[in-house]
Amino acid sequence: MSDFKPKKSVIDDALDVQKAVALVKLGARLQVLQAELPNLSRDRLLSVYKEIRGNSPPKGQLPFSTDWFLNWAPNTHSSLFMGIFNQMAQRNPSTEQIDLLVASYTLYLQTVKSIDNPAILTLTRAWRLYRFCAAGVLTLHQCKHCAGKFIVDPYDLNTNYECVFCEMDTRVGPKVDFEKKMYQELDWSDEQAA
Amino acid sequence: MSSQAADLGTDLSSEVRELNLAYLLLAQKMIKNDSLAAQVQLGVPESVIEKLESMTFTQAIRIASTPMVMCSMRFDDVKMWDVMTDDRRDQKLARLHTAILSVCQPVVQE
Repeated sequence: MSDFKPKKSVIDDALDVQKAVALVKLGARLQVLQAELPNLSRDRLLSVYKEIRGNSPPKGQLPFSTDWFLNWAPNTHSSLFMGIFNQMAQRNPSTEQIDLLVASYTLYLQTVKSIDNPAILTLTRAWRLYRFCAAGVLTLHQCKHCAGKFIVDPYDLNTNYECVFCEMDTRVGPKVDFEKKMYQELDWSDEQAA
Repeated sequence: MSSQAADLGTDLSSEVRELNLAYLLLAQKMIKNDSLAAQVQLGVPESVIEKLESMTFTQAIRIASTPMVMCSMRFDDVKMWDVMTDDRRDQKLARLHTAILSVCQPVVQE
């Protein structure tokens, strides 16, 4: 048969659906699925979404701003997530990005749960963050005091960069406290574009 | 030389064995559960991860039977210990800071 065309693999298709399920369960929005699983049609992704969530996905744009990741509370969580993601990516250079995303986001959730922090970073934001880092719009930079790596804007002046934790220790003014509303009461959802 | 049994002092080797066995079995369970996450959490090279995953129970007991502790202190950075032990800080923030510092450790190469 000279005109043999490779058919779409049923197994790959099933694996893709499984990945879509994992992403939706972690809170991914439809746009994330569409970008990460180009082999599945929008209709199929939509039915996966509806079957798990029980309602239609929110409409509207995804959050697109890099500024959100630089506010102090989101910055700490973003830095934690990117640290986990990079550790995994360095150890497993041949693993697909989507598998790394699911695994590192799961570990991020476990980590914040075990240290009693609210999960500020949603999966959609985490996905955005790693895309921003891959594109070089955001980058990790070492703090001069604690040597931890934090998310910064590469076009800021970062030569004497101090992370938010170390800055808190040295600055004057009221002590920043975890229970304060700046950490607890803000709306961290990614439903509206920010 | 002396006929009586040597005085071994306080012998903690059985407790070390228990710690080793618990560590090996937990590590194996973590790897089987989610190997990507386990690599980061355990911080051991990939070659060791593979060995741990295929280790049988009998092997685990045999490997654990040594007076040497098998898991070593992973975070040997003094700055990180300063953060962890600083009582003046908000505890939840200090734990978050520690978590960030712990994922910034260089990846162990084999």
